[in-house]
Amino acid sequence: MTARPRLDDYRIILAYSGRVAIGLGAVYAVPLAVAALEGEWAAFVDLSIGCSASLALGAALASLMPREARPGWLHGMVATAVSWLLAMFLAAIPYRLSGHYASWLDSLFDAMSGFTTTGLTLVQDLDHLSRALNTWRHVVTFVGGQGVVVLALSFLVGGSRGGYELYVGEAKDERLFPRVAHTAKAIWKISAVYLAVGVGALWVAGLSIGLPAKEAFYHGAWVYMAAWSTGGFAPMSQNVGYYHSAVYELVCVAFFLAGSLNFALHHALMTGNRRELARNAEVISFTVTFAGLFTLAAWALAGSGTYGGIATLLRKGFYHVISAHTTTGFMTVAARQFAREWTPLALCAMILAMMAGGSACSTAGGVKGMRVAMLWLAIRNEVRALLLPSHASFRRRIHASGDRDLGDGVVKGAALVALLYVATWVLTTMAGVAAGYSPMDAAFEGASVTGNVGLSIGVTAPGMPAALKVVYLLVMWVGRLEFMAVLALGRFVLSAFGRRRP
Amino acid sequence: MSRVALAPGMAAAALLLAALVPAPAFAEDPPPSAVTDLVERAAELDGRRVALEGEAIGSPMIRDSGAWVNIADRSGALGVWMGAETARGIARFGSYGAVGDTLRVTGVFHRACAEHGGDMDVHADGTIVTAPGRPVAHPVPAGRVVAALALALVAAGAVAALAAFGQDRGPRTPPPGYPGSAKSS
Ligand SMILES: [Zn+2]
Repeated sequence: MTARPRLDDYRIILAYSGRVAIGLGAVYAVPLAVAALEGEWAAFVDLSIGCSASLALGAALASLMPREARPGWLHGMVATAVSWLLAMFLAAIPYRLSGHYASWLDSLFDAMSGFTTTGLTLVQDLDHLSRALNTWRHVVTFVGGQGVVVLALSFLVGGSRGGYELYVGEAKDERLFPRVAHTAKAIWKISAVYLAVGVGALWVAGLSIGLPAKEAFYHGAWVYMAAWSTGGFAPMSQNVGYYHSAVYELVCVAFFLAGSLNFALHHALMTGNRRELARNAEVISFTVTFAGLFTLAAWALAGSGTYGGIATLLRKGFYHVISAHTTTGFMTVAARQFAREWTPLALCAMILAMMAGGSACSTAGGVKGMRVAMLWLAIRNEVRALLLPSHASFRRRIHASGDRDLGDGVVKGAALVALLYVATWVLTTMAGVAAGYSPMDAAFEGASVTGNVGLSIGVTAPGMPAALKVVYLLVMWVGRLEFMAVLALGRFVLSAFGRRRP
Repeated sequence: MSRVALAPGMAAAALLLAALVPAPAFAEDPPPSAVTDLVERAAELDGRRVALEGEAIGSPMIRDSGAWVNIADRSGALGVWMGAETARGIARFGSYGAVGDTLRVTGVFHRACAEHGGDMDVHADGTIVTAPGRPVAHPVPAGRVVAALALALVAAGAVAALAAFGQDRGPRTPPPGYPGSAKSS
């Protein structure tokens, strides 16, 4: 597929996207069930329109699959990028119909924010949203975390090998098992175990802080889905600040921290390989960068006297730095408190944490601990090579679910993606400055968008310029897919309109 | 929030509640601030008496020594720490199915409350209901129901057609260059 795409290429890509749309239609069953259970019939009708549209369009597109299809790697990448856009449109339908969004653009923004597990939101009057639509917002972010594509993979593509390309394109390149279907099943198994434990834990925590039983359950389910997918949505406008509870915040931390860990690490731990936790390069990388950045933020906040006592400093400082570093985006302060009360140095620590991000093959965003570790080790190796005699050699390795060679090709890949993240952040920041925001506000919000975090310093609001909404929406999409799938789509589009054959 | 025409019974209940809850005289109270004003002027207002008027949202959360009631005005929402009995006296909280009681709260504002883990809050010493809440109906537009039904039929037809004619046409053979040893990219 290096030459001009043929009709079959388009058909394969659209057919895979169609399967994803059918999967999305099936997922609509969850909020529809809540709407029926709660008697929220207006929401039910809105959701059913989104559901039917997904199924109808999905079936139409899926039928395009050519009989002699030979999907390649590029098909999978392009289909992934297209699927996320298609899913965004289909998931936004009930948002727009609900009347809680000022425009289609705002609805699309929220859908993309959900699927990319970012958590920035343009919803209005969130405190009066139906339970069904709140469920949909959180299911979208949960499904986004698991990967729209892995979902389609496990339910629809089944054992066919074409699925692997979709899977690779989805930024989850860690193979737990050689076979794709097994990998997808393992991911869902790990998630299902955590789902049961997490919703239960947050339900109990909700009861203990005085929520009525039914509210505690719904809030537990919603907050769990946002935590595990490192999403950052919450059912109330004050985000996690609504609960006013250290216990609730801590339970959240446990699950968004778990969600930010590599699925391969979860698998190792669940199969009894406890030692992996201490040796894993990503765990070490995260621990080191988190400790450093939290110390920096705490030092800056202590110096400015933002939080009087050590207890409040720990509760506010720790919570927001770890929320940033895992790219979750839960907040217990108002957005403008960052701008008004946090010092520039503390905000810089937050920006670095958001850019570094969680683990590869997790629900987290950002550059990711694996690449941070690789680049650190590569620099160390270079220095070591400098000091050794020229004929001497040593093994360059990294430990993450087994020892891997840290060859030049791997390092180059990591460096390129890291460079793309930083460049994207710079451009996003410039877009914010161009729209009239202060450099610090634009840099903070830019890092949040680029790393799919969801913390806000107050830039993201229904009244922000439409052009900036579009920029943020696209950057969330590009950042979540780690550039490659989107670059493949760009290449595909260019080749379609490129030189015509003589 | 919205000015609601008070049903006589509700108005009486509100007045009764107002009489029950000890509230300082209005003359001494500062004018109500919007939540954004409190956030933006937090350093200046820290530790001072403020007034706040907004809708009670979500649920009251009764704790050992008091209760949390979150209040929203058009500009934002803020936690108010009040006595458990006062919180129990609030009849209706805002949700999908209701507009909550509008409360006028006076109390001490904390930019980062030391007692409550650094939360921005108001410790209320006077809470009165200035407008009772009301249930909100969400009628289903008939045209939308028709559209939804029609679309559901189309979707059912499309899925049935795919199941009957279009199923299992996925790739059977691995493509050339299948990345069995794909590196991370
Ligand atoms: Zn307090």
